[in-house]
Amino acid sequence: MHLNKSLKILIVFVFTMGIVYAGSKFLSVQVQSARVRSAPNFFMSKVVDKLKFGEKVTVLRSKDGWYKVKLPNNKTGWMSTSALTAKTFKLKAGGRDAQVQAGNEELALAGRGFSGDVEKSFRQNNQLNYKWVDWMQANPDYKISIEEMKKFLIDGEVIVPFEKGDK
Amino acid sequence: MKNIKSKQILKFCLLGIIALMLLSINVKSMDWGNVLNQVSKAVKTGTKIKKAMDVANLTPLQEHYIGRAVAANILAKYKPYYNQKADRYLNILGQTLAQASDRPNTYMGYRFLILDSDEINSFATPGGFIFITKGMIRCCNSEDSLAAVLAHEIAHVQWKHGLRSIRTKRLVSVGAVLLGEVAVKSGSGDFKNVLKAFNGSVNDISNKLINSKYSRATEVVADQTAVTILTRVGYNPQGFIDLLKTMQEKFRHDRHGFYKTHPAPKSRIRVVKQCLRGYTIKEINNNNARNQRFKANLAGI
Repeated sequence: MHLNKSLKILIVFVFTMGIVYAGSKFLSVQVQSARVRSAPNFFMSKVVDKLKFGEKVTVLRSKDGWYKVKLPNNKTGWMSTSALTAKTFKLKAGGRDAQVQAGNEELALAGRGFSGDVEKSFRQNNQLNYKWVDWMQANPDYKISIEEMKKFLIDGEVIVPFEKGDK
Repeated sequence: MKNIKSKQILKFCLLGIIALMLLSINVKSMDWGNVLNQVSKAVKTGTKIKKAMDVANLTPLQEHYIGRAVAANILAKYKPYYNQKADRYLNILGQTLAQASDRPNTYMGYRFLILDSDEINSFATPGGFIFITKGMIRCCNSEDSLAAVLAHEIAHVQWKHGLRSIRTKRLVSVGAVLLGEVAVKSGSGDFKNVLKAFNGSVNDISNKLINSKYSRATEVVADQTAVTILTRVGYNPQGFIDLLKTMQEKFRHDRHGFYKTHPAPKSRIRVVKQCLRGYTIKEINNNNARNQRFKANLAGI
């Protein structure tokens, strides 16, 4: 009976720890580059700032797939939930916890999971066409700005024009 | 009976706690704080490894590497159709639609490419490399129809359908590495296991995309999500229905690609129409600005 009680306390403790852990307000950027916008909408807002992989933000509130966030420079704006993670990225050297220096994600995550190292070995053992994959990724013609997208939609009479002044 | 079972569970938990206590004696003098800490850590690690078995928890960067390999596999089987004007048009349309999806951010963003094949087909790899054959483009009579094809593929990326076709067992043994908890050195035994898991994962997805098919339920979700994306942006979903009707017509003579890997167009039309209940659907205007540029950019295909 006594044991039963302490076990319950233990379970409550572990769960509380879990909730405190999950409730952390800091999130990290998990994609190469992410836009911070003035409103929770892609085509009806302005770009306030851009963040790189590993940079951290404080969550103020959330709404339909968007977080209102505060940036390290104290600016606020909205980011898509798909750009952020509760995970903190660790530096490779010494294994100490630290914020990844923007743009150094390959170095920071080397050896951790499916990475550039794994791809390199994979490519040696398989006859695949990576040439075109690299081309799709790097071709500047395929990097479409939000401004071009808006123009495309307006020119095609897909939607009505938006507010001006977006980056 | 229930009582006995719960007693057994309690006994098991007690043994676990005692084991952890004994372990902690070796390190420090025994104190409850430390024991609780160990228990909490064990629970946390256990949950994390279990999470790793859910492929949806791979980071976008890891998903990107898998996607690149699957794309390289598709491009070894299908020749790209290089047409700067058409490919750029496809990328503007596709990337715009992706921005309106519930997953606008993949690691490097979405990319689209036309494949030089008469087969009616299209593929989406994890991370957002999307391919569409010339045969599929020929099924589209308007930008609205082409938008429907791309929105369907974007939906597969959004829901991580490709990743979900990886057999779970491949990832379990390397769970800690995939979660970034442990780093492995290139060439080591652990590295070889990670490479093996990668190889297997790429094969699972490639087979699913090229030779086999997603479940009917998965395709229904992709079609429903496609309708959401199209209506959010402002495309006419009638284009989706027109596309499916054309495919149905063409499948009478051509039973490759999409015919084998997707539900019959007739049942897909039902799904789309169900999503659009309450909407007033207009006929496609073939001469409006968007359809003029559609014809101009894709001329010759």
